[in-house]
Amino acid sequence: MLTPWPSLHSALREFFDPLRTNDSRTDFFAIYRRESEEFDRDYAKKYDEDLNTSLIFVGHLISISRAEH
Amino acid sequence: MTAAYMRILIHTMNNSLFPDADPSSTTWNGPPPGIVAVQSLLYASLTTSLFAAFLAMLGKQWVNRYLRNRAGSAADKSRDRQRKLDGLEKWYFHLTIESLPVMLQLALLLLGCALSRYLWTTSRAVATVIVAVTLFGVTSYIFLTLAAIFSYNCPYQTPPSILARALIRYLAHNNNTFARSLRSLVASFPSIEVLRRILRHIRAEVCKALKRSGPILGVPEGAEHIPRAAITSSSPVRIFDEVSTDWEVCKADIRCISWVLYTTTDTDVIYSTVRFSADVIWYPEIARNLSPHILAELFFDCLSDGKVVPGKSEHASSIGMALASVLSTQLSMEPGNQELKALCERIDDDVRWIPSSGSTLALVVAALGFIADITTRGYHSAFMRRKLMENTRADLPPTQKLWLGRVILQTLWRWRRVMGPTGVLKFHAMESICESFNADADNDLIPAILKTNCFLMMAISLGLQIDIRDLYAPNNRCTPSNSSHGFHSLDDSEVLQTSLYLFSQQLTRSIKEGTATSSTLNLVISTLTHVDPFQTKHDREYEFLWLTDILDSGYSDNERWGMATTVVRLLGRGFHSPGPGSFPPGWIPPLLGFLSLCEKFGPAEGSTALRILSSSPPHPGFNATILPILTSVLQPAHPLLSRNLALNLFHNFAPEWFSQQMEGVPHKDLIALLQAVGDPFQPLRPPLQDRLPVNTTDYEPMMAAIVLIGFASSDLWRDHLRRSNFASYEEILSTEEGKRVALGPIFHTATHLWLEFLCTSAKVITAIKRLEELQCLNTAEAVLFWAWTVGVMDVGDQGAWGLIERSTLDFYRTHGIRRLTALSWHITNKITEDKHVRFLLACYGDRSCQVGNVRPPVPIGQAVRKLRPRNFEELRIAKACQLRRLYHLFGYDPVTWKEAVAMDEVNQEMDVLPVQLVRPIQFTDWGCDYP
Repeated sequence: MLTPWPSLHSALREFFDPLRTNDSRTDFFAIYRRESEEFDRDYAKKYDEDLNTSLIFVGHLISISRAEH
Repeated sequence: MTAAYMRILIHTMNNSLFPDADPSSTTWNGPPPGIVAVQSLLYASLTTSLFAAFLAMLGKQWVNRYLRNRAGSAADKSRDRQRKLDGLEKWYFHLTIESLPVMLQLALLLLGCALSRYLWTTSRAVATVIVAVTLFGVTSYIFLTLAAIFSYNCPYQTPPSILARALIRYLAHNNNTFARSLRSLVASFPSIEVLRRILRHIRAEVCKALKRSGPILGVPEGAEHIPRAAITSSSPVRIFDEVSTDWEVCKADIRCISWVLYTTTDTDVIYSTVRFSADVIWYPEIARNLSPHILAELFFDCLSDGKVVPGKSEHASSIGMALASVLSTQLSMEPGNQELKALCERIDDDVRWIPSSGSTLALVVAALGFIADITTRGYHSAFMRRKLMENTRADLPPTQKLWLGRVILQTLWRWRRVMGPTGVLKFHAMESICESFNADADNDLIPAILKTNCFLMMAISLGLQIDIRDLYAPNNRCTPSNSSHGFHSLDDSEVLQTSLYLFSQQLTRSIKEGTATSSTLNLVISTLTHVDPFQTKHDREYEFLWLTDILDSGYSDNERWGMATTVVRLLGRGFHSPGPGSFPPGWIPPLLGFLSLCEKFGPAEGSTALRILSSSPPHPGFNATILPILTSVLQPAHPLLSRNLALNLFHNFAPEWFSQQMEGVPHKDLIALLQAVGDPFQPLRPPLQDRLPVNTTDYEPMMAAIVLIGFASSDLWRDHLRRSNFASYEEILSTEEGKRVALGPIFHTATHLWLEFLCTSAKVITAIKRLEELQCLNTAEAVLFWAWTVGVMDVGDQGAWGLIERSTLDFYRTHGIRRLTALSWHITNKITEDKHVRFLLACYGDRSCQVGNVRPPVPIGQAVRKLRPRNFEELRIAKACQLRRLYHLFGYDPVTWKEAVAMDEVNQEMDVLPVQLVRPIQFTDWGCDYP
């Protein structure tokens, strides 16, 4: 049988394939990387400082309670 | 210790045992109770702080782990990072880390208590100081906590304050059983009325604070708006599930998009993010995961005072497109969502009066208004619809058309859901929009999906109860055998056929009920152009063309004709197959019905139907009913193409028809047909008057001629054909152009046929005279010959004889003896007058004198035998003929005689020749190439 029209689904695939939108995709992920690295740096720094404070505090506390013993 | 107590117990019960047991011996000899309590508190403090240290160490590891990147592309890294970030949120990483200070505070409190307790026993003075400091610490902590609960802006946030605020928020925002019972519990204590008032105040304060500055518990801003997948129970309306897409990747992408939109403030970043999201947002899976609120905020940022901020219109368009997609998708899933309704109202208010300027932005604004319209003013409001219609131009880029189609489709869908299954949307603006979508339907670049969207839009606008999700229900599939595998295993065309089948059922019903207008139907059909009707496997699937239903429906003839024309055009567009495009037998009756409609309204439209009908090899579905319909097509008022196709059709089926089937046909039908076919040269006339035909395929009188042969093969019709009027042949001959055309093969054939069946002797004479004038002697001779052969010429006719005399002489001079011999064979059977014989003899004598050793054949001899010789010459010829030897004629030369004898074999052949010529004449005899 001859199919003079392109199949619906080949057209669908062609149009809906996310990989086709390469330009905006590349742009977006470049920006995402930039933004996320910035964010993560702050994020990790925040938690790191929190934890460091806690650890210092724990150290002091332990030494005091040992002294009490 | 325990053993000592046991001894005492046993001794008390039985004094004979353990005589030495002394109750006083069970005195406590461990550390004093005060010390134990102090030690316990101290150890609790120590272990708590150790555990906190352990968690802190792990926490540092986790953070490092989070920072570590996997290998791969930027997109992979990003998705991995987003996945980890989502995991952190989902598992309340921040809570775990925030619990460390709580533990440390607890450890500190324990330490303070232990110290106070211990020093109380040793030194009251020191203990007082310690207790005072500890109490001060606890009090200030409580105060800070309360302050933090009261004010979100208070910088002294502590874990209990965060907890309390979370509880208040829960009470304020949730309305489930637990929250309600908790509230009623609080309300049931009259003694805490004051507290309740305070609480209400606090709650109001906190709610205000929350609204102003966002959420608590350290969640990134707006993160609680990110709906997680599979929270909503209603599944998204997925129209094209079968598209192979990695949904996991898409979801990861959308999480990335959400995250960027929530965290960034940079407009460029937002713009490229929205641009990307506009590319992928077509998936309902994605659109439902993106918050419309954040997009709406971004969109509103581009507006000020009901106008778009200059220089931001491109941003506004991109963001608006994404917003429209997201909003329409989510609304179509949850039409009753209050938050979305509120958002719609806001959009509607802001967008309504943005001046439209025909740009992309205007279209986006119109679409947004169109989507948001329902919540405030109802579907009948025509303002935004008109705006949308005005802005939907035919030259939109395909991506925008696709986007718009999707948005409109989902909105219509939502309306259908809102209005219930019985609601019919009379939304005629759809027609013009679809029309502009289909403006360049022949362009292959336009994706079929767009047409499908149009098709679905029209379906919904028509009020058809089609739900695309029905396609994926197992019991609705065309192929039950595949139902166990799910729709993914269905092949593309099957899904399409199934959807068409469902659609056709609905549309058929509405055609029968008369609810579909013809213009709507035309549009629906024009969107169906991606379907190849010739791929239908069963007759049942043919139903989607609705031709039968249209023809049987109660519409007026004019409307039926218009609708059927669209359908037939669709068929014709699919009918490009050069080979035998076989069509199902079910097509024949509707196509014939359409042809008879065309007779009334537009003969030109019938050619498509004729083309389809005549393309197939002889089809068993045809019967005598075709005759009156095709006959009317052959009328001169019809286009040449149609007539040729009809003739072709007759030709294809001629053998069957003229043998058996035609016998049952009413006589008047056949008469009408013959009169219509009547003049095969009719097609030649108009082109001859205006211009010369470029080639013979422009018009095919041949076909008519061949049809006539078919008719003539039946004796029944021969007589009728002879009586028909063939005036146009003479007209052709009389024109100057006709001279040239007459030399062509068409003319030969036409002349042949004309003479064979139809001429009278007078017409033959006219024709031959003309041919002589035109120097077409070959043709003229052939005409004459054939006229004799079939016996239409009467030798007794004076005019005819004169013709014979002239032409015979001419032929005789210019052509070989064979033709003349053949001619004479027929003539001599008929001549009765001496002068005719004499003429012939003279001819032969003359000829033989020139050529030499050639003798007149037997027929001449037979003729001469009837003749009474008037002189010696005649006697000599007659004698020679009687002797079947003609050497008398040529003198008595022995040499020539011997040669003549030697040529006897040749003579025998010559005698036989006329017998051979009795067979029906071949075209090759006429010097033309036509087979």
